[in-house]
Amino acid sequence: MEFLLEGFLALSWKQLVMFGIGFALIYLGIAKEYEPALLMPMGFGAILVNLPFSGVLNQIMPGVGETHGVIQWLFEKGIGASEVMPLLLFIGIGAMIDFSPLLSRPVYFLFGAAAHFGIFATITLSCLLGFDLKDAAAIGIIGAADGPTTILVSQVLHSSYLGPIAVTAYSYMSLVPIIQPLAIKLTTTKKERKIRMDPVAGTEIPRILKILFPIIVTIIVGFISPSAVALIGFLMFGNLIRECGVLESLSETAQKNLSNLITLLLGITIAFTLRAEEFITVNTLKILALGLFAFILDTVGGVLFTKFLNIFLKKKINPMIGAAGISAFPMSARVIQKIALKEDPTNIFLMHAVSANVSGQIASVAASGLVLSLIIKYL
Amino acid sequence: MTETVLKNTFSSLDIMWKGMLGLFIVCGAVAVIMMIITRFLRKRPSEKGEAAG
Repeated sequence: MEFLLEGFLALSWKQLVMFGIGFALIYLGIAKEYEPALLMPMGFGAILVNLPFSGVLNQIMPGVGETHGVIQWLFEKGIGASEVMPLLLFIGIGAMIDFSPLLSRPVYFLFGAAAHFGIFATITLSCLLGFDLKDAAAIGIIGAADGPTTILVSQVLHSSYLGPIAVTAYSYMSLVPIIQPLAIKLTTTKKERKIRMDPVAGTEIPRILKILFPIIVTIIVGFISPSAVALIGFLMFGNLIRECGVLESLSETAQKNLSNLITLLLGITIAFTLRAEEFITVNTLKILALGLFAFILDTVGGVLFTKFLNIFLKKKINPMIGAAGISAFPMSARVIQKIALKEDPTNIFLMHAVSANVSGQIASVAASGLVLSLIIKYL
Repeated sequence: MTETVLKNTFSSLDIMWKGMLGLFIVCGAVAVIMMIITRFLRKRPSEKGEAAG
């Protein structure tokens, strides 16, 4: 009856820890509703890949030879070979975003740029903590606050820490309502948080402008940051499908069916990188700390840039608007509006926050492309 | 502090200023172009109206 005990006897303490992490991710996804579409599949996948001799990974069977595991195959084909999964998800994300609030206030594009300072600061801190430049860049991209971008950049750079980076990115994205208020209160005064914004919803945007926008953005980002063409191209392709007005059915499919299908598989596919021998390291704890640092510095960067702009402006902008420039859409805009209403129940500026928030979607992709373009000069 | 750590840190500082500058250039360029196109599109119907009248 020994064959019944083989699995139990092969179990290591690291695999037991991974079961605990898997249960924790499932708990956070279901009970706390933290990014459930990704944390729950990642948690379940963590259990699947850490079962001894798991059939979801490639195994050598005596007398049979190598057998192919489905999660390993999904990872190698869907993420390892071409990053196709995160890229296809970008079509769906592009189809979901309405850039009209940003087009009625184009200057808010700058908030998206400022609120990605955390990426670059985290790369430097990661280097100081002993990570090599490739891994440091992959860790810094956690500050993009964008799951698919983080996964794609980590994979392009062949980072050894894709698993911890993905778990950290998605965990902190779901913790934006806790992280951002803390960082905002540290960097603003009560008076600044009470600055009133014009609640007007913005002007009507001509259809031709909405159609030209994704094309222009792709060309500009493509020329300045060629490495970002796949990311920005697929994001803007999705947006063009949405805005062209003649592909309603495709737009709906991209927003719902395509996004749901890829999301369904992405979490469980990423779980391939949650194998105990790779995940249970001191560096995983460092990455968790660095991810938090990235999110806090993104928020601080956006706030401080808005304060800097206010030096030159007659009509001041509420510095919290700058913090909405991170890519966590629409969560960040809602969080900022909630803080504003706490300070002054009549200060409604959600559309301003949304404008900055959608600029963060583009800035996060542009920043990732710039990191990829710049880093190859130093490797 | 090993030599490699220092070398990587200085490289990352170089990436930081170039990256942030590039990011502001990208976002600024998109903002300026969209403003120009918006003004052009808003101006055009009024010109047509004047011509018609």
